[in-house]
Amino acid sequence: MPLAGVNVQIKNTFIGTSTDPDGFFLIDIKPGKYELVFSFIGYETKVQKIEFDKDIELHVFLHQVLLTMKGIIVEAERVNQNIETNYRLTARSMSNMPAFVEPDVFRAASYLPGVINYNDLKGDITIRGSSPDQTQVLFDGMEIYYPFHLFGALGSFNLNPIDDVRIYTGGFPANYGGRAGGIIDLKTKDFSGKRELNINVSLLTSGIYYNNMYKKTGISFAARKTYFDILSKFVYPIPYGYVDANFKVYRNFSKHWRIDLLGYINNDFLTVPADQIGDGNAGQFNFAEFFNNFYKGKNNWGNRLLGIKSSFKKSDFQLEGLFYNSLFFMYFLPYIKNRLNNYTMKLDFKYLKYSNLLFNSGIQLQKMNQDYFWKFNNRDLLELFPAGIFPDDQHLSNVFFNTFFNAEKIINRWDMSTGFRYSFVKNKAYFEPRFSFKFKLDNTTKAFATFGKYTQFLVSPFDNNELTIGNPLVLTKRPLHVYNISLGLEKKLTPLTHSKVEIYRKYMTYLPLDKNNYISHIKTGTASVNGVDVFFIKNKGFLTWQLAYTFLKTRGYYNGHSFPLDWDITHNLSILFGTKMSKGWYTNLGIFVHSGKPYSPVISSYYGIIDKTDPYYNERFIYGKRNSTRYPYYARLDFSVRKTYTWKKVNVEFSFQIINLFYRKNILNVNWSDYYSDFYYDENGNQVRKGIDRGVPILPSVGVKIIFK
Amino acid sequence: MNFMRIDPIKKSFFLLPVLLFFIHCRDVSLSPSIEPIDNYGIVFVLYTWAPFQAGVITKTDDPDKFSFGYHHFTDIASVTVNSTLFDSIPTDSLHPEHPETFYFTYNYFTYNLAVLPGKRYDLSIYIPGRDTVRGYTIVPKDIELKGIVERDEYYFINWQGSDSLVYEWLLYGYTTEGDSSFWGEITEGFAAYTQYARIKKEYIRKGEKYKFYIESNDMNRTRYIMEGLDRSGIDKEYGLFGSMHINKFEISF
Repeated sequence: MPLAGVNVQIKNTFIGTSTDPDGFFLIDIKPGKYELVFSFIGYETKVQKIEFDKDIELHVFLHQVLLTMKGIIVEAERVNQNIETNYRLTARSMSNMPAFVEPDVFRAASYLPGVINYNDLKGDITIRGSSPDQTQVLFDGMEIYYPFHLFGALGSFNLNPIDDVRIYTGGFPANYGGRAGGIIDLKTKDFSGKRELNINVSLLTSGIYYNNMYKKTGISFAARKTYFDILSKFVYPIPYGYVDANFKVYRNFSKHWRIDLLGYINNDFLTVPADQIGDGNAGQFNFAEFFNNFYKGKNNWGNRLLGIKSSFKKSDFQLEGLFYNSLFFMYFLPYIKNRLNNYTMKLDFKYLKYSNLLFNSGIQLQKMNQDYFWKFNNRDLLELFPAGIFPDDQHLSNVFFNTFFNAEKIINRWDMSTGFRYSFVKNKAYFEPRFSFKFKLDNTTKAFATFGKYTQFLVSPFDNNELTIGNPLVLTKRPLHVYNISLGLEKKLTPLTHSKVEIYRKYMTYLPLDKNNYISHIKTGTASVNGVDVFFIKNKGFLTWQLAYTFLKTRGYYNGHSFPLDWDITHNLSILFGTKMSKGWYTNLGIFVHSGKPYSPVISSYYGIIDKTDPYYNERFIYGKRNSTRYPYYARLDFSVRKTYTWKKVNVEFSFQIINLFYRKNILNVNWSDYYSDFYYDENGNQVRKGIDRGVPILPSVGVKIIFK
Repeated sequence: MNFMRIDPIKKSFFLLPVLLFFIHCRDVSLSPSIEPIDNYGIVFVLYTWAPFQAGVITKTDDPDKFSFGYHHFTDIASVTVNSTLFDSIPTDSLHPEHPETFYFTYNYFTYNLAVLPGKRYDLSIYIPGRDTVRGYTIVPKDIELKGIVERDEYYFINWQGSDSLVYEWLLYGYTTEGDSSFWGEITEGFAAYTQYARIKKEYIRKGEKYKFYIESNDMNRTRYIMEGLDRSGIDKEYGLFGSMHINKFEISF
């Protein structure tokens, strides 16, 4: 059977291609001696030596390996032409992890070293001591802002159409820019040689995924939607729901030229008017209201992406043009009206010279418009949306022009890369140099190092620890700069076990440190981050496992004093096990243990009348040194089991998972005002203080996936 | 691979973390044990429109035992603002445990201080055994209304004042409900470091008269609220010495 999508690479060079739907491939190289490497997930990697002086035909057979690794598949190996630290997560491995009801990219990423999910009620992650807003999310090359459902609890990406996710936790190459911390780069699937049709049902959503090829035109479509908002009419009123969908249509006009049409939407919506929440009317599902919200842009929030891409590829040359519109919107009328609208045009050019020298350069033009309006005076709503406590109204528009250049060369054991990125914003220029190298010590060990400067023009206006409908970004007057240096060692311990250790240091300037929930008055300071990432992985065999340990020390400097940053988690350990118990049965176990988050202790209180009408303000706390104390350590154990049944033309996969199996009541945050003034008595007569926000409770869920063969 | 022949030791290896984890999984309690500081809380806000000026001095206390009683108040301090001495209310005549008085309790007051916009006022508090607390406030100036602009579905009322202050605004209108007519609040808002109010057109009836109030907070009170400072406008102890001024305008749309 011909295999599509097999990676074919000439060893120790950048020359490579992948097989087409019929299993054919063509590599244009000069006569000589070469070693060709053929790799494909689920098959043995094969190395074939060739020597020729004219055009030859080659037939290669790959042997299937038993896919016992139903656990995670994380590749810490170098992929593509980038030396920099990145991890590749496949959609299949993410689907296998214990999930928060639905598999999620952000939750899966938190199993990696350097990636910390410091509030488990939310999907937000910090990458190597950078705040969550320093992570860029790209969907087929298009930037997307705050892609979350369920008030920030779950990432908004349906994993079915996702091919792979590349996560950069350290230095990233010059073709990425705009954010200073990390990159999550999602790519959707092309046609893999076989029509795909899946139907999924979980406790939250039902969805469909279809991927096929008609002659030269490929189509991929996926959509999912909550059904509880409709069922709530009959069972229990829930005035909320969400939907997301994406499509990709592409056509191969020739062997070298291809055009892609890309689209994506995610949308969370209320089925009752915003100002009726908390009233007796709320919760009654109203179709008219739903359609009004959904189609007229009222009381709903999410993202919309639309793009067109043209790519021209030859063996030593590649040109890609992408034009897209990315819109982030939050309408919660009359309280919130927020739009970040981005039109981007970019050109990317790659050129290969002498088979071991790769040039990559490009230009990007972005026009960004922002309407930003918050107004919350309603105290009931403050409970729901604390971020919106202060009103504001802002209209901004900016044009960004970026250009980048990168050159990478392989010489014997060295793989060196150097590049820069240049940005022009408001008549100011920002220069970002990037360097990296890798040195092969022996057949199993590589040393690597990166250095780079990263500039970010958008910041989040508030620290978003609570569940809110979104965390928008605003354009800053002074962009954030991050300088990053890292050194690391990769070693293959056994044929199945890989390890990696990396130490890094970051220095940040103009980092927002005193936001006070207020965008016009964001105050910036500097910060330093030091850390060590350790990673072990065994991804084949009866028991697959991975272990990630992160040591992190952060220090912010602001207004003459220093303190750990809010997400300063000193020790962070995550472990994932996967095993096949018997035919068709797979189990996965996830463990998270990390140090407690820092907080500022309350030392004393006094009576202050500063507002004659509001008793809330009469209670005034005196806080101790900023972030000088820590909450107790965090621990969580997750478990999932999967069973696949196969019939003639259908595979049915049932899954059952439990998050926080032992129901550890982790502490996430404390509202000190409530903690010291509000309490209740439990059934044993003990006083229990309020104001403590706990992490995720024990959370079991089930799901069904029907795969049509 | 025959999975039924897996070495039992391997199976127990898989279960080991589960057992280890079980030991650590329990309810997590928080017990902050910080030694509370012994100090004074001082809050004096001067109002340009108030018939008298008042403030409060209390001892700081462990927040764990936070329930105000008269023993938190002190009447031994000597408070002067621009050489006007404040009268003190004896602590045993206060009843802060009653919510209705608790919210408005003050223990220092004077009828002899005129507070005028744009003027500076100096505070001096002497508490026996402590260093003298000093501070000052500059009362916000009168503000000037710049006009009303219509945009989309809103009216914007613009004014001119200091751009680094926080303003609170209120719009009153004359409403008729059934047989009775009265002045009532239409809407209110908060303008932090900005100088306009945004009002939905649907709240407004053209041609009718409205009253528009703007409360200006001085810089000390602005920073105390917005930046969460422990101490604003005073150099020792904890609290605030600030001032507020109100401007009233009659407007129509």
